[in-house]
Amino acid sequence: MADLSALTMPKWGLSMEEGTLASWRLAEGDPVEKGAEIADIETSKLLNTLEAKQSGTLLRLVAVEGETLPCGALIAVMGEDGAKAEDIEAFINSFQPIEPGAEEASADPAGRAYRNAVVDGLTLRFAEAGAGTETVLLLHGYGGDSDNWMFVTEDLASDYRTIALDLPGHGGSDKTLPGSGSLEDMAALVLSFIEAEEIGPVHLVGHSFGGAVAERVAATGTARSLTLIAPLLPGLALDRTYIADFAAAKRKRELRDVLTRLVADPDAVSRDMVEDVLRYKRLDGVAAALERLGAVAAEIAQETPRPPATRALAVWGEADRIIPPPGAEALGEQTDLRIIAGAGHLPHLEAARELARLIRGNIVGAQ
Amino acid sequence: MPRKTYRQAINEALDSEMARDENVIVIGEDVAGGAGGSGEDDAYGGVLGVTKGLVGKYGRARVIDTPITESAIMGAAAGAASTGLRPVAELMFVDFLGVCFDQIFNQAAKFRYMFGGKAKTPLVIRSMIGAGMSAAAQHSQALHPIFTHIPGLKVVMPSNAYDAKGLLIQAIRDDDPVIFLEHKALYETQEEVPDEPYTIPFGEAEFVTEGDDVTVVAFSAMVQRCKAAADELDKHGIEVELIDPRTTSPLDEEAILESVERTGRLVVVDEGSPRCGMAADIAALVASKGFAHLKAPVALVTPPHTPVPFAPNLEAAYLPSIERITAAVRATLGEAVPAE
Repeated sequence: MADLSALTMPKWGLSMEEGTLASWRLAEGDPVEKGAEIADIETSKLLNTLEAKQSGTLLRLVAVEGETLPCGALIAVMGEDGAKAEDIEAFINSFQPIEPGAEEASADPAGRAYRNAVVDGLTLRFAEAGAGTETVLLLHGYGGDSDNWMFVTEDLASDYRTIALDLPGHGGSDKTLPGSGSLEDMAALVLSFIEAEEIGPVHLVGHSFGGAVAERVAATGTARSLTLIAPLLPGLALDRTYIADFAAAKRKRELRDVLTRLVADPDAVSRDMVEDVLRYKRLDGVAAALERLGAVAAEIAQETPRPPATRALAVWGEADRIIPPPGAEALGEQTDLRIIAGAGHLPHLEAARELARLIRGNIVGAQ
Repeated sequence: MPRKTYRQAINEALDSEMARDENVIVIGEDVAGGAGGSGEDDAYGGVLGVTKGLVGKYGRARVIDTPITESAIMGAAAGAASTGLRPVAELMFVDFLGVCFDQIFNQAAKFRYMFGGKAKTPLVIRSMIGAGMSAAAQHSQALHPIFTHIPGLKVVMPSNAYDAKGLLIQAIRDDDPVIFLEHKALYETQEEVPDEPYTIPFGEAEFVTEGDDVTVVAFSAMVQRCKAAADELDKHGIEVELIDPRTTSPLDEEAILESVERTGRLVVVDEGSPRCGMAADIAALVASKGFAHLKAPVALVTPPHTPVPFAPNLEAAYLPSIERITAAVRATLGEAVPAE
């Protein structure tokens, strides 16, 4: 039989169980270069693009647009040009999908796992992936969780150990905040976490409120590099109505309208993403935690402007409506500012590959 | 996230609230089972195993087996609630309501009013409803409209495992009497259910599917049938907005009216008897407050006004079927007359 290979529904991150083939970017018979964009996949968060891991010819599209399939299911057959139709048929008929996550985290082929750590009396959950001598610690924003990094860690994990933490009050971590829930308390807890898990010194990546926490952690001089994504830095313009509306939204339509403000493309917010956030908000303790953190965020925005204390890379989506991109002068001389076109407040979900490239560059530059 | 059955979700809600608040107790027939006998101590956990394991964790003082006397269960629970406990009383089948109705509608439901707002009655009554198991006319009814009719009672009808856990925790924490109705046909259904406790507010409808063609309102197990009907209709280009109000009292009128304002068409699907039932109630709501938006007569899909048949084939014909639901939706679109 000719040399045929399977293109399967990808598994981006621990929580992904299925995906919907939104659209094919290439047609049957098209030549494929390694790294080419093959298809758009709708996930439980946003749409993401599937790239070719090898070169060849796209011989047969098995999944049709709009079809939802479990991770690992066959979506297309690749191989060399001129393969026989009967060989392709036989390949499709004999294809056995690898059952994704059958034994939960331990069976994950990419070594991904959710783990818990007890730090300063709080249980913190984190998603770990990849291996390497360098560790990248990722901190999500207000109302987010470690899954927000699913596309980025997928990319980084091929070279680094990545740890995406659920901050207290979020995801699978305790919903009680450390101390008074202030920015300093959150930063102190993250430092304790780094110490308890013996992962330092780390490369820090923080988004929005998590960016504010990352900046404070790095200010203690313990980070190898610092990447801030639309960080909530003192004195920057923050749309505080977003925080109030996020906390207040109870119905799906209402919440979708709020979440849509996070992204550049209003159609990108999936139904599952809205449902997941709504379910998160119903958990015991979340309303109180979000109220406190919302107040902390508002305070930070009103402080006297203060650029990052250490050398940093700051990345902003051009269309960010929550914390609009500031001018480079506002970020000080030690900060390198990069703007990603076509992204809003969630570049890690909207433009994951470009962001991952920038993070990699910052990590390498620091070494 | 772990998938759990409706039964597990209810058990988890009871477990988490009993762990959180020592005032929460469970009382009913065989809720532990095995009392006074020589066999297993936690033999039953209720007739369908929903309360299994609780007696081992919380003891017989908080998981109380009673004789077969519904009036005593409801009377004791109403009294216990008025003294500050938070009882979850089990009325095994809703059909047994008749022998304990005074304790529920004229005592528990009225305490707050009769004592000038000074009394609280944090009582939950769990009960099983519904047909489809060939349990015959005395063990198959869907009597939610009777409770819904009584001011002072809140009425909850979870249609899936996720909602069951969140709504039951909300019910236990509520300071008024709550009737929590579990559908027999749903106990084995599975959904992703978080391990952590969470609450779903009463009077907040779920939009199971979103669409601009026809609004369908359904309760409890009928939500699952309507979902299947909506998926089928979707293949033919008909977009159904399926609303599960989750609670009949309070009722999320706003969600229904807002949806009908967009669609102009309404189908109500309910397993209760048609007379003075939820289908008639919601049709009246829309006729009085949303008439101007209606483009077609409201269609009601309910069983006929008869006792539930025992014979499986007749029982199947009695219950609203997916075919009848899709036909009713098509009828509101002027496509065909539903076959009756």
